[in-house]
Formats: sequence, C-alpha cells, structure tokens
Amino acid sequence: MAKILSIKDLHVDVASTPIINGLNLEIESGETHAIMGPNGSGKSTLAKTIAGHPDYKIKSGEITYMDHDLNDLPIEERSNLGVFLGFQYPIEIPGLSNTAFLKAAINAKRKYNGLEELSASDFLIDLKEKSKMVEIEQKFLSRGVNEGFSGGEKKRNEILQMLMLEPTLSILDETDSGLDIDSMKVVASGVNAFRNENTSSLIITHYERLLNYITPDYVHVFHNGVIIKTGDIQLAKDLEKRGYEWLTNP
Amino acid sequence: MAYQSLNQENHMNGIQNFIKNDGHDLPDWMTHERESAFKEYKKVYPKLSRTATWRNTKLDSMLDAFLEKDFKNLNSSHKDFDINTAFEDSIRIYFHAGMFFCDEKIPEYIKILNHQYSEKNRSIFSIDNKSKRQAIPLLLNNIVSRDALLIDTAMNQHVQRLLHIIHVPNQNINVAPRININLAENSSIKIVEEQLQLNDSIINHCIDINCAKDSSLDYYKINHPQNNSHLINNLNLNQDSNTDVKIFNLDLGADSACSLNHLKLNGEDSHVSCSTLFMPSAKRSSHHNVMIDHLSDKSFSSVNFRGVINDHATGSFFGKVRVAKERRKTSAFMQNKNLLLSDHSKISTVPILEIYNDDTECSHSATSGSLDKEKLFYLKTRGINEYDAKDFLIKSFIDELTSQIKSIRIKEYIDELILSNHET
Ligand SMILES: Nc1ncnc2c1ncn2[C@@H]1O[C@H](COP(=O)(O)OP(=O)(O)OP(=O)(O)O)[C@@H](O)[C@H]1O
Ligand SMILES: [Mg+2]
Repeated sequence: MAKILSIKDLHVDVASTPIINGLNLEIESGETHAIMGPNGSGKSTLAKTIAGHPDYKIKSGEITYMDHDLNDLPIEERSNLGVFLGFQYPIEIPGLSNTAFLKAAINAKRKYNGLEELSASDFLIDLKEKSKMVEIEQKFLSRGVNEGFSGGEKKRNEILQMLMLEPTLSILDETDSGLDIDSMKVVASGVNAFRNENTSSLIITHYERLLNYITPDYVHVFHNGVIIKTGDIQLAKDLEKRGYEWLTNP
Repeated sequence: MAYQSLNQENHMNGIQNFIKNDGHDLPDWMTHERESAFKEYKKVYPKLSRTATWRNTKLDSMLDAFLEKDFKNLNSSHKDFDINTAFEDSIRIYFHAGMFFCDEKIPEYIKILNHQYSEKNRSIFSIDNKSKRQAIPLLLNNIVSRDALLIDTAMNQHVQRLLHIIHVPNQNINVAPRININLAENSSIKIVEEQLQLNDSIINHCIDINCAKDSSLDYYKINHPQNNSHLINNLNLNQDSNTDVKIFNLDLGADSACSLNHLKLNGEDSHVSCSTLFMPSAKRSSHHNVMIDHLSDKSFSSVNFRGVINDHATGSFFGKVRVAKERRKTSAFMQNKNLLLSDHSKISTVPILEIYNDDTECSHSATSGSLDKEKLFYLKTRGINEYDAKDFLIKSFIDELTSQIKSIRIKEYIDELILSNHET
C-alpha cells in the first residue's frame, strides 16, 4: 500500500488565530477515513488547508501528498494531481454553466497530465452517465454552477464533480449535511463507486448515519485542531449515543 | 489652440463664432434655431454646469476640448470608407463627418434630412418636455447638428430587416448626429447603432424615440473603445400604451463617455427594459445616467446596468425611478452591479427610487467589488488556473446581462466585441 497523504505536526492559523494545533494524520491508498468533531473544532479548516485556501496559513509542519510537499503547490496543481475537496458550502457561480465548468476542469487536468482535450462527445457521454448516477437531471447542467440549486442538489453536484475529475484523494466536507435519506443514499453510492484500492477518502461528517453506507476504515475525533481519539465505526456509534463531552471533558 | 481650462467667456465666444462661420449655407430657420439654442445655452449653462450630473460625468473635459475640434470637413463620401460590417442582410445607414448616407435605395420609412431640410421638420429641434439634466448637450446638439435621420414606421408595419446605423471611424471631428424614431401604432423595428472608433473627436449624439400604442422596438447601441475622444449619448423615450421597448447598450469607454437616458412611460401596459454593459479600460471612463418616469398606471420598467472597470478607468451609474402618487399597479426594478478589476479602477453608484404610493412593486440594488475570492478558490480547486478562473468569473458576470439579448446574431456579435476588447 502506498502512502497518499501524510500530515505531520501541522499548525494552521486563520486570521492570526491558531486553529489547527499540531495535527498528525496518515492516509494510505484504498483507505477511507472519517473525521467527526464538534462545531468549530477545525475540520473545514483542515480540508481547506489541504486544498490550499490562501486565508489558511501553515505556520509549521508538513502536508505531503504522494511525494509532493503540498505547501509548495498552487491550488489548481493540487487538484490536477488528484486532490479533490467537496465543499461544505458549495459556491454559486451564475452565468457559468455547469457543463462549461466541468469541461474546463477536466481538460485542465488532462492538459496538466500531458493528455489531449477530451472530445465533446466523449465528455458528454461521461457526463450523462455520471450525472445519472447522482440523479442530477440534464437540464440542471445548462444552468449556472450551483445557481438556484437546493442544498441537496448542491451536494450531489459536488459528488458529480468528484466522479468526473476522478481524484486520488477525495476530501468530503459534510457532504451529507442537509440531505434527505434518499439523497444520502445517492451520495453514498457515488462515493462507493469511487472507492478502489488506488483511491482514498477523508470524510468529514457529524452523523454516524452516512458511515452506515460508507464504512470507514478509521474514525477520528477532532477537537481544538487535533485528533484526540481514533477508532473504527464503533467509535462513531458511541459518539452518536454519548456526544463529545466524555472525550473532550473526561 | 490649446485650451487650458474652461473659460466661460472664451467658450461662449467660440460658439458665437462657430454659428457665424458655419451658418452661411444653412436655411434661415435653422440659423435661427441655432441662435435661439445658443441664447438658452448661455442662460442655463452657469447653473446646470454645477449640478452633480455634470460633475460626475466629466462633461467639463468634453467642453474643454469642444472648440479645439474641427466642426466641418464635410467633403467626403461614404465610398471612402471600408468597413467590415456585421449583419449582412441589414439596411445600413452610415454617418460620417456630420452626414448620413445609405448605400442602397432608402426604404420609404427612413428619411435622411440633409442640412438643407425644410422647416416642416423643425420640431426635431424641440427640447420641450426634456429633462434639465440633458439641457446642455441637447442645446449644443441644436447648435452644431446639420443632418438628421428620421425613422417613421407606418401603422401596422413590422420591419423585418435589421436597421444598422454605423458611425464611421473618424479623426479630429466635432459632430452632433440627431436621430428621430417615431413608431406608428402597431408597428415594430429592430435597430443596431454602432459607434466605431474615433480619434481626437467629440460626438454629441441625440436620439428621440416615440412609440405610439401597440408598437415595439429593440434598440442596441454599441460604442467601441474611443481614443482621446468624448462621447455623449442623449436618449429620450416616450412610450404610449401597450408598448414594449428593449434597450441594450455596450459601452467600451472614451476619454469621457457619458450616456443620459430619460425614459417616460406615458401609457398603460408600457414595458421598458434598459440594460447597459460598460467596460472602460486604460484611462477611459464611462458614465451613465438613467431617469425613468412612470406616468401611467400599469407601467413596467427594468433597469439593469453592469460595469467592468479595468486599469485606471472610472465608471459611474446614477439611476432614478419616479412613480407619481396617483399611479397604480406599476412595477420598477433597478439594479447596478460593478466589477473592479484593478486597484486603481473606480466606480460610483447611486440608485434611487422615488415612489409615492404603496401599489408599486419595486426593488433596487447596487453592488461594487473586485472578483469574489471564494469563487476563485472554488474554480481553482477544480484545477482551473488563476488566469482562466478570473476569465470565467468576468465572463459569467457579463453573461448574466448579455444572456438577456434575444437575437442570437446580435448577442454573438456583442460577445465577440467584448472578447476582443478583453483580450487586448
Ligand atoms: N476565514 C475565517 N476567518 C476567521 N475565522 C475563521 C475562518 N475560517 C474558520 N474560522 C474559525 O476557525 C474555527 C474552526 O472553523 P472550521 O470551519 O474549521 O470548523 P468546523 O470544525 O468545520 O465546524 P463545523 O462543524 O461547524 O463545520 C472557527 O472558530 C471559525 O470561526
Ligand atoms: Mg465545517
């Protein structure tokens, strides 16, 4: 098994406030990790730091993704190398159609990897198949990116982007929040379709519910910007019953 | 003669001399019109030139240059210019050095009035019922203008061919084109007016549009980027009942480009939409002033202005919608959104609703800012580089407005112009 992501003693500041405080995490290929933790504990901060958001400043420590020091790489290059972030709050871009956006994204990655642009017809075949998987109707694709999408539709659109971009490491930040039970199954089957021995995922969630569909190899509890406990699916079940208090205030 | 800063006395003397020297081949009534316009101009100038409209739109710099320019140079024919025009099957009217031309047999609803035209068209010069904020350029237009273009549709006439009015590129001129459009009952027409590139020039353009009941008009005005030139566009619109007018402007900026629009909804079920995309770059400016009067029940207006300001350019928007107390069931929507693309670009925006009853559905909003950081981040996390991501965001901002254009070929043409302007 190859190492996909390795985080060592990571410290991150946001607006001059330390949010991540000495985090360590290793993810190998084929693994699925879940992160749970109270509101404001720094889960999204970690996700955005890995993706390269300029407001999240790495003070010390390392993030290594498949031999690349991520800190040195521009945001788009991280994506082109196979890192995907599914946003907790997906952004609306009216005036830019989903189709044009996805096409540009895919071709940017192909270009980076020395491949030719995808032909329009191959792209459309791929898009049709994958949008069917996440139950997004064709007519949505000609609308602006996430424009006027419901909360659940936005989350399914994130999964569609993930499936289209075929990343190696997929970080999903609360992709299950705000989803009805059917949408959650759709999202879960999208994630499961993406799972194989070469891909890894980091799933941030508040609910054990999702983890019944996507069984993680590890469950980490996040608090004050560090992992305070690691376990398996049973840990998620315990948290569901008991809350975080017994861990954060023992 | 280099003009230092506007000296009122010199300015007035200059105009006086212009009228004297230019007037010899004009009919008497026209010379009289010029003189009475000048009389009025001298009266209103001191007061109006101090108003906010005037200051915000940099009209001063236009007047500074006003007398430096050559007013005449009228000995050219339309065959001299070689223009790569869009819209193949359109009827084309050219405006060059103060004169209008058509390169085919002119259809009966279009009349080109050369400067010798008869007194029966004197009403073209009327500035009654026009807003004070337009008085200075309108009066100056009356003083300077020669030819006029008259478009009078007949009752029940629906003109199928696009009318394309092309202002030919020019150098060192000071001209005042005047266009009158009168749509008869239940008639319709589609017009694209295009101002090609000028160098060292002043264009003071006036257009009056009157729509009789049941008529409809699509009017597009496209101003290419101008070099060391000043551009004023005055538009006055009157709409009767059950009329539909769609105005779309693309303005790519001039030393001072300024549009003054006054739209009056006089009849029930009159609809107007007025959209403008202004994109000044370098040190150009683009200023916009729109006033809408809902003078009838059940009248609808939609004002949608977007600015994309680059480099050291400046832009401004002033919009006012007035709904009188006794007017019922009107609806007014006004929006101005601006994108500042550089640290040195500037914008000011003032949207005002003056509504004196509660039976009006209305909304207005104005926002200005640079490209959204979170949107940029989102695009980049999908592998799109900084340059392309910015490009996408600018285009999407523009496309939200241009997607309203119903005619596919006009939209494509406008998109192309925007693109080539953006790339240079
Ligand atoms: N851009 C920012 N500016 C200022 N503070 C921020 C910013 N982003 C995050 N923070 C702060 O950092 C802390 C951690 O936020 P983060 O979004 O990472 O929490 P989270 O664990 O994802 O919470 P939730 O479960 O509510 O999504 C919070 O206190 C938050 O207010
Ligand atoms: Mg979060």
